[in-house]
Amino acid sequence: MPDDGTLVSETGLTFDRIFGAVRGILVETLGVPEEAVTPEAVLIDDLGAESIDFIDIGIRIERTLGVKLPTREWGAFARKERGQLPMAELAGLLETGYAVRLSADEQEELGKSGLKGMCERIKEHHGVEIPEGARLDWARRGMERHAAAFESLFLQKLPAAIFERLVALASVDAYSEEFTRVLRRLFTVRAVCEFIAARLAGQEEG
Amino acid sequence: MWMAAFCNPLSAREADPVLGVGLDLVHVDRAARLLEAHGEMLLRRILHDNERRGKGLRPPPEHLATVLAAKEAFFKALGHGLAGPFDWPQAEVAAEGGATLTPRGPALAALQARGVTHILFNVGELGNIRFAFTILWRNGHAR
Repeated sequence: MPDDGTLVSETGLTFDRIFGAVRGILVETLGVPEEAVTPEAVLIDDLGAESIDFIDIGIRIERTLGVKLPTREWGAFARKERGQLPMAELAGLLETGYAVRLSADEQEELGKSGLKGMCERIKEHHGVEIPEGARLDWARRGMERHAAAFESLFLQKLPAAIFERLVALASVDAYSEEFTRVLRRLFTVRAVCEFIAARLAGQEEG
Repeated sequence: MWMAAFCNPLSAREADPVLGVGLDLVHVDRAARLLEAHGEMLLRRILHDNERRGKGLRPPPEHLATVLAAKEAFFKALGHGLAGPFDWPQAEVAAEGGATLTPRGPALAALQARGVTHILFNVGELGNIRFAFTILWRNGHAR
């Protein structure tokens, strides 16, 4: 290890050592007891991290481990609308599959109403019942894109159980509090450490 | 007029003048710790050059807390937090002598794309807390 304490140039940095460094940063930044910082702890819900803390945590990790966390991109990912297919695409599926043509005003109005609410509105105003299976299929397609974005941003797979949970929630309403809560639970200490490990491994390969 | 719309969500939807609302608060102690820990690196990351002029090497933590709250309130009104797609210097805040907020670059473009014509913005303090709010408005509804 160099004199300045950085771990960047060391080869073979294990998850445990990354976790140890991250845990120290979180204890210092958030004022939480060391035992609270487990790999599965969620930064926001379990450790109480707020937006200003992410500035602090990001700079400390960059200075200690030499890895810049893409907190802005992670924040954008957590915006719940990405869990649903774009309204224009849904409108196309409705038109080709069910001969329902939504006006521009309807599309704007239904854009954030959730799939179930959208289907109820279509039944009420267009007299067409959309099967639950279609809603599930659309939710899965939206979440598959979401999962790909997660993998790209976090450099790890979206856990299958969470993916299925999000599909079920998105088939009803991807803008619900519960959907957002499940999304937030992706921001674990483990996810951060695995991102750092992957980024460091990439640096060494490069 | 804007108060009536603000207090009644239904009329706000009907008239549709409000495009975004953001509110945030920051403890001065937290801003002080952040400044102490990261100094210049932090300031380079979050402040526009104009925000640093006349503040010496380091702004007082009270000022930093106000600026952080203001930026976050603005970005929240745009639908994001500080961890959104915008760089923090894209919201330039002046808190003395009547608070002003000047959006720049992509943040300004985002406002224009959404048809925002007015930004209602102010900052305040309560003990050790600095807070800010932003309301994004369109089409001359602001008074």
